[in-house]
Amino acid sequence: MEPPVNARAALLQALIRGEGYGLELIKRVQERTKGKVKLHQGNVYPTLRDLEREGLLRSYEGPPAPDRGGRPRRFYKLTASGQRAALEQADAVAGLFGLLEPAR
Amino acid sequence: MTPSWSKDGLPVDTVIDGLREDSIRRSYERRVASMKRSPIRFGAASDGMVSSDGMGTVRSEITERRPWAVSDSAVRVIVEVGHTAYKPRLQTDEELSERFATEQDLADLQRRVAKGIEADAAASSSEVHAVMRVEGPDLASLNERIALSSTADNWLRTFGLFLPKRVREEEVGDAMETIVQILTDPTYPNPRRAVFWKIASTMFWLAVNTVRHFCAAVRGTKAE
Repeated sequence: MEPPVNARAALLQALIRGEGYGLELIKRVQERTKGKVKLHQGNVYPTLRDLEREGLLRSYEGPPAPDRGGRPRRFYKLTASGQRAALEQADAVAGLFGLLEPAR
Repeated sequence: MTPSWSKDGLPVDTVIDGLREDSIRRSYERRVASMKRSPIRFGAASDGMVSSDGMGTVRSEITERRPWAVSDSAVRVIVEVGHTAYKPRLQTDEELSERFATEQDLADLQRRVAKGIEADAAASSSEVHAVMRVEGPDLASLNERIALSSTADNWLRTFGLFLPKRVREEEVGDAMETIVQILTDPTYPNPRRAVFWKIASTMFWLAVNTVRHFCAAVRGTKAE
């Protein structure tokens, strides 16, 4: 079955719940969709960078983490316009699915 | 190499003097260097094992299913760092309780253990592997996991030299975090295969994402 949303939508929705870094966002999406939407390295990072370039996200580096070999995590958070976009998207999706009657 | 244990139940620290040979020293130094490089941290394990007072503890869960499983070399290294010696095979209730001996019990325990080792040594010198204050079993596995994490880190670090800093730190860092999670999960099936698969897939996506990164930066277009 095709995933119901793309990486872009899934990441925006995941970030509504608070900032996070790549790996954490992958897990967050997987948990919240009960495994229906699976993000991976191939689509998460390019999409996050795109969203940042578009001004919907802002990112910053955390402190170096020992379990990452001393590399810092890069955290992402929604900007004001990103928040608006995410909420509009959530409304649109809820409206769309709310209109549909389950098949009998 | 079979250690020459004291005949009179001397404290084990004295006993292990007989082990201080160049090969063990080099092995220990290699292991410490490997642990320092390794991104894995088992609680106080790594720090403890390399601590200057030599009284560190490797902590992990002891279960019935996973009793002591200590490699000869690992044991000697531990002993070399100054840990109390102990028999690897613990069977009686009394011996089981000694696993969890407190600091106050150590001096007395050292003597009793040394005697026990000496008694065992008479029966079979190959049984004289000794370790104590290693409250986790399976040091061999622990060492293998640490070595695996170092290997993964080295490979990804080398590969990352050719990548932009942002891609390198973000994606390689997340990949290493995943690898460490795999290696620190004792229930993970076949961690070795999983780690090598993760390294391979990470390298592939790093290459792809780096091209996308440059294309998107130059053109200002979406990569997805």
